[in-house]
Amino acid sequence: MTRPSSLLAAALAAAALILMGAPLPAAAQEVTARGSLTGEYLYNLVEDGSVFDGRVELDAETGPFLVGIVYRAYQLSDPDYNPALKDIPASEIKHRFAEFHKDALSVRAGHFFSTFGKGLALRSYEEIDLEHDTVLDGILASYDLGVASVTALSGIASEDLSPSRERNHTVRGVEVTASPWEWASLGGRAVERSWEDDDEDVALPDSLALFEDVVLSGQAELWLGPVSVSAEYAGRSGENPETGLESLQGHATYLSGTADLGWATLFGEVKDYEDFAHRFVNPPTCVREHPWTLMNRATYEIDLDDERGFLAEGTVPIGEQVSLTGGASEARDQNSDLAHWEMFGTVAYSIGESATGSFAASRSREYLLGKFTEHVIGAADLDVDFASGFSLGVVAEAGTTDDVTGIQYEDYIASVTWYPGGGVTVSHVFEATTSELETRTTWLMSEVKKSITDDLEVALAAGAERGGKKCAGGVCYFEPEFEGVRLRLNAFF
Amino acid sequence: MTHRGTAVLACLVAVLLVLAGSVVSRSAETKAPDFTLPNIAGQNVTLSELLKEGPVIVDFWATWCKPCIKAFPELQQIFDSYKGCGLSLVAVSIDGPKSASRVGALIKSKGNTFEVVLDTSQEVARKFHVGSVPRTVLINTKGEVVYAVTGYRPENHKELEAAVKALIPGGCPKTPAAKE
Repeated sequence: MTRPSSLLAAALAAAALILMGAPLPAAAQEVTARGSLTGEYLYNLVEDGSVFDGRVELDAETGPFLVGIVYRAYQLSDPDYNPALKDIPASEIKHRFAEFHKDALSVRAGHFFSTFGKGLALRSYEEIDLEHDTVLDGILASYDLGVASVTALSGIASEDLSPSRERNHTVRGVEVTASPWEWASLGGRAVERSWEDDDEDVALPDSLALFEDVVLSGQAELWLGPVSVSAEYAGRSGENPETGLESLQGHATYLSGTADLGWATLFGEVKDYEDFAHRFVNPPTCVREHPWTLMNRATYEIDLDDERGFLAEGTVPIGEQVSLTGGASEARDQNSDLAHWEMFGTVAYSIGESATGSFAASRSREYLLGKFTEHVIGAADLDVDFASGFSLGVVAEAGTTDDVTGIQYEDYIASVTWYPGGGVTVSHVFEATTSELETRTTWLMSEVKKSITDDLEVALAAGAERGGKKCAGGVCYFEPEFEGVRLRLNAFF
Repeated sequence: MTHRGTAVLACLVAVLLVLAGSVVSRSAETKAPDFTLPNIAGQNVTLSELLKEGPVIVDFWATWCKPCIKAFPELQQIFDSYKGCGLSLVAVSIDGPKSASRVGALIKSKGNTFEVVLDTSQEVARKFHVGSVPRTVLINTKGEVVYAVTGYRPENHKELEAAVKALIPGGCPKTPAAKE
């Protein structure tokens, strides 16, 4: 954090604490404080290392003013054991802001997140589990006129490209949305972005270290009875401001539609992305994010510089107890070469009021390293409420993978969750693989969770957990394997 | 101080904060932040407007969250029982742009009739400090959070229904007049 931003952070933190702690005159505005704490301590038996990861969020609101901070502590017992796989400060004020609301006007100074439309023109956001944070530091203002609203922002952010190299981003944008009719809304956006690389070890010439671009986008959303449609197009043009070289023209088109036919619900998406990848965009992938672990682990990672494709799915209820969902997605590059496809189906059912369950299956192929990797996955779950008051949930997943190396292996997951009542949840997750690339073939993790009050939950887990790809919100990363003990606290105040 | 010592100190601070937090929560109800979000039909929904009619359940969820969808039939049942007494239920989808378009299709296929709004930038979820979903919050007509729970447990809906009942004069289900 730079010196001025540290001072600003300290000033905001002090203001927040004063607002929450200082005795106020009787006639003063009421102060509302809200917050949460997440604390996790984990000890890895294999690595003989421990980590404490704590996050405190505090907001204080009085009248039209709101201030807030997010503090994070990430303490390693051994610098060589870091399960986050990236440098995280041992102690930092991660976010701080001050906000003012008055009637239709809202102004925020400090850290902010923002999403324009479907994320084609701009998306800055945080995915805590994946250590993904594209927060902007600057000013965000919006004015709502009722039939239309305007948002304007200007912010900076830095991105670590390597241990010595940093990319400093500046983002400025404006969005206008209008709902002239109940059945339609329109939006237009302009976003100007620039970055400058800075390397501690190498002096980078401006001709290599600078880039600027502009994104212009238009969007329309229609709600026509049982049918709704959304379409957005964004065009991008950019170049190095010093040399005019590396100029590029990119675009992104996204279209989605939903139709409620009564006997069936249909949903479809179409994408076309070319030379559009940027840290501050996050368009839809048009590939389904599954709730099943093995299917989600096989989720395809999109190439925003060279991809087009579709997703189509439909759901048909059969009576009141059963519903069927089926769908498919495909992605090709701009030369029409196949990059990925997936087919999936789910049958959800209920037996009376005491049992619900589902079966699911998927088959997918993704083009990696010049060859296709194929996954075939099946899954089933069942939840039963017993008359004696406790409930049980069982999940089983199995999959085969034909790897790019020509190796075939199977993966299995079985989990049991028991809800004995009293705010307690007990779960066991067993995972096995036949892959010879893994150093072990079985993992078993058990967890006991207890809600002590509405605002406080404690969870203790012990055992071994398999590493692997974890995806959420269009971002994926590899989580390392874990064997040991984990204690987690969640509190709201 | 060693890293281990710092970690132990941080743990102690965390425990103290938790204890302090639970004391505060017993001494005063937390005021819920107000919000306005578009629903799946493009109309704006404002929490403070709904609170003029009666208590509001705010349920944070996502299309990729299996326990969230598992809880929907129970939430729908509570909504059906008490909507005539002024209860509103707002399911706040925290799906980002990647999956937000699927929200309408999923809700229509499930036949849910409660209000579903889109928090695509997760700004409202952040104001409620939602770290993981599902998180269900019950807000009384004064705008105070009187019940909250994170995660799915079958017993949650019984606790939630009891909390709703306590907020509605006379329990109401005997006179279910449709609010719509």
